[in-house]
Amino acid sequence: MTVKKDQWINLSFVFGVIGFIGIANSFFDEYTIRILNNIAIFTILAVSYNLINGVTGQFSLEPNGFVAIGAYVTALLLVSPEAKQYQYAIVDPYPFVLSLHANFVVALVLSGFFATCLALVLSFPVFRVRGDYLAIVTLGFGFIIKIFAINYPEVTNGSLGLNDIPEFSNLYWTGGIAIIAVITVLNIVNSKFGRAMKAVRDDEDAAIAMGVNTFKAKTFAFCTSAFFEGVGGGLLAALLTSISPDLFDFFFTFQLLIIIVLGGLGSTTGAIVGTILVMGGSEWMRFLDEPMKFFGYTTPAMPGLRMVVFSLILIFIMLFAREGIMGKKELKDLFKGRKRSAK
Amino acid sequence: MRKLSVLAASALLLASSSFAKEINVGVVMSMSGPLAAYGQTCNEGIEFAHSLQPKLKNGDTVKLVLIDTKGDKVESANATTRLISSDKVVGIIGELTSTNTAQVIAIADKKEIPVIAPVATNDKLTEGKKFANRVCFTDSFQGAVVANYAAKDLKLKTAVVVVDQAQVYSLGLAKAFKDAFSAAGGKIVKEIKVSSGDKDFKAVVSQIKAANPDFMFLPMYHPEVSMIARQAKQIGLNKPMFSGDGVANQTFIDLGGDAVEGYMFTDFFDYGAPPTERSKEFIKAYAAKTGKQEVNSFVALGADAYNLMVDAMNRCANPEDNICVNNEIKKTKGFEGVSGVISMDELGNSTRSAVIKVVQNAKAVYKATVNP
Repeated sequence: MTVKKDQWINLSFVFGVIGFIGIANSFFDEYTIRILNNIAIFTILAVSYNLINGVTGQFSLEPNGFVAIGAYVTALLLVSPEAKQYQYAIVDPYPFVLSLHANFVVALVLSGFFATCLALVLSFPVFRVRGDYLAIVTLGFGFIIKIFAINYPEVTNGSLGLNDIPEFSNLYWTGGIAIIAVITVLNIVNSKFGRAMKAVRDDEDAAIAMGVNTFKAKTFAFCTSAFFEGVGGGLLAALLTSISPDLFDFFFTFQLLIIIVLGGLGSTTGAIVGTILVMGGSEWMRFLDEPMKFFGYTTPAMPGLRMVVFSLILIFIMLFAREGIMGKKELKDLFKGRKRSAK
Repeated sequence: MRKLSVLAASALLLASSSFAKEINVGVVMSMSGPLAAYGQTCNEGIEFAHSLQPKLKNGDTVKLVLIDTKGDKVESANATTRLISSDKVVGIIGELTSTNTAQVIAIADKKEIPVIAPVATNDKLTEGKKFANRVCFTDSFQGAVVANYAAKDLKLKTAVVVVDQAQVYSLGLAKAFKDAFSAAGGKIVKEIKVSSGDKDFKAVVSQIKAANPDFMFLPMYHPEVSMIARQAKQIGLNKPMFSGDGVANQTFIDLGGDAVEGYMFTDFFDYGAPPTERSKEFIKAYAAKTGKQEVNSFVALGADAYNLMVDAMNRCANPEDNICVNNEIKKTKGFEGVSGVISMDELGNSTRSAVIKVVQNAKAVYKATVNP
């Protein structure tokens, strides 16, 4: 009986989102649409990052690396050869770079594919260490990708980055893929693999003792996460139409980390709520930067004030909701009675 | 009679003000984040120019809508979209760096909103774009200025170039310099790559010393350059050193100390030698308001980005016509700005003079003006 009710809740939520995407284009202006696009893309990134960081409990700091790979693969495949011809300012590109061309779907799939392959290779050194050490190893990977992007101008056009990427991303793409990502991740979390991942998070040694192949569970989470991060990176490149290495520095990972910790580590619903709050909230609070009128007295414009207020809100949320807004709860848990959610 | 004229004047004023509109001009700038110091300086110039000239010829008021980007690409995109779709701006001034400006242009160009970049110097920025403009010079011009000045005026034959791999600015400037210096008959004996954030340049300065060039060209930002200058002095390397506008600030001289005495760099303008009437007035008004004479180049360029926008709007029958404003910006010839005389071309690049300065007694002193 409860299973059926859960399904109804999730299904109605999915249809609600689909309906919202369907009508959004005719109701909102472009600015709001762009913010919704950002929210959709960061939902993909946050939900998949949450799989490795929250559900499997591996404190990894790599998303900026995978997002960068996805963005660059998509950009290289989408930018037309003519546009590439005049973009490479520092050195001439390799001939194969000019010949690369594909449509949007192929580009996105390849973005995810490359990120997954790299994640697979990376998982061997990365999962030899645990805890803080894992954080450092993955952090190093993010830096390597950024330095690679800067120092191989023959492929990436160096620090100038790639411009004139065709703008394929729209709300149907970003929102649609976000729904697919959320459903996929939720299905993994609720499967046998998901239970193994949670076992790794709660006590890795105990999980090994119970016969869980922890390396397999961790690698599976890592690769799935990398795939969606790669696809998300591709969508981001096609939304911004211009990418450069400085976009993919550590602050990118940091932003995702804020999102999933704020929403509640391990909760997919929490990751979505966190994304909406961080991506939407920081834009909504722009009025704080502008001159304001209080009882006839006008304050001067104070750029940066919104970030101060934003940080204060973060501090308060983390003080009063130690495990993030959702804790480890999901959407369906909200509709249950107190007794059941307590166990 | 007098009463009547006062009455008539006030009636006219009332009439014009009742018809006068408010026109939004967007400013996208890094007001917080790692580049906040540069962004705030530039915005200071834009706002000061606005306070001097807040109205158009036809009486319409210009309203600046400032949006902070934190120096971030995603936020630059958000800011630009918001300015165009919600604030209905006629034109946009900004951003600070070349990569973020490319982001602003990518969106504004599709919506046919003219952009004036105050300080983004990368050559590729305006290529293939119809609505991209700038008031600063390009890297290739700046590199050529240094190369020709060194080869022809100072009669230097060989050079070592130190380039910062992580900065678009540095790569573009180094390339332009190398091309121009070779064309002027000079020889690049060595090129050394560093990365911003490096602290130890002992190996770099030793390599330069071994190559024994006539002078060094360091197209980078001031933190690294001041350290290289200091470490070069320590090992007794006393060749002339040259940089672009990346070191054109007092912080560079303070950081470098006596190691940067005699250091030469290019700049957009010098407050000690105001190039136009407008800059004289601007410096006077600036001194009256802030109490200091030192108008930073970024302040002057910010002001010129605004002045050029207003000038183009004044020349349009309907100042809210973005296509007309863009065309007028590109048609601007011999515009007397704060930072010098500016002429625009079809691509939206400006043709303008550069200034060469030299550090003497811990102050940047005007040395020469180079006209294109």
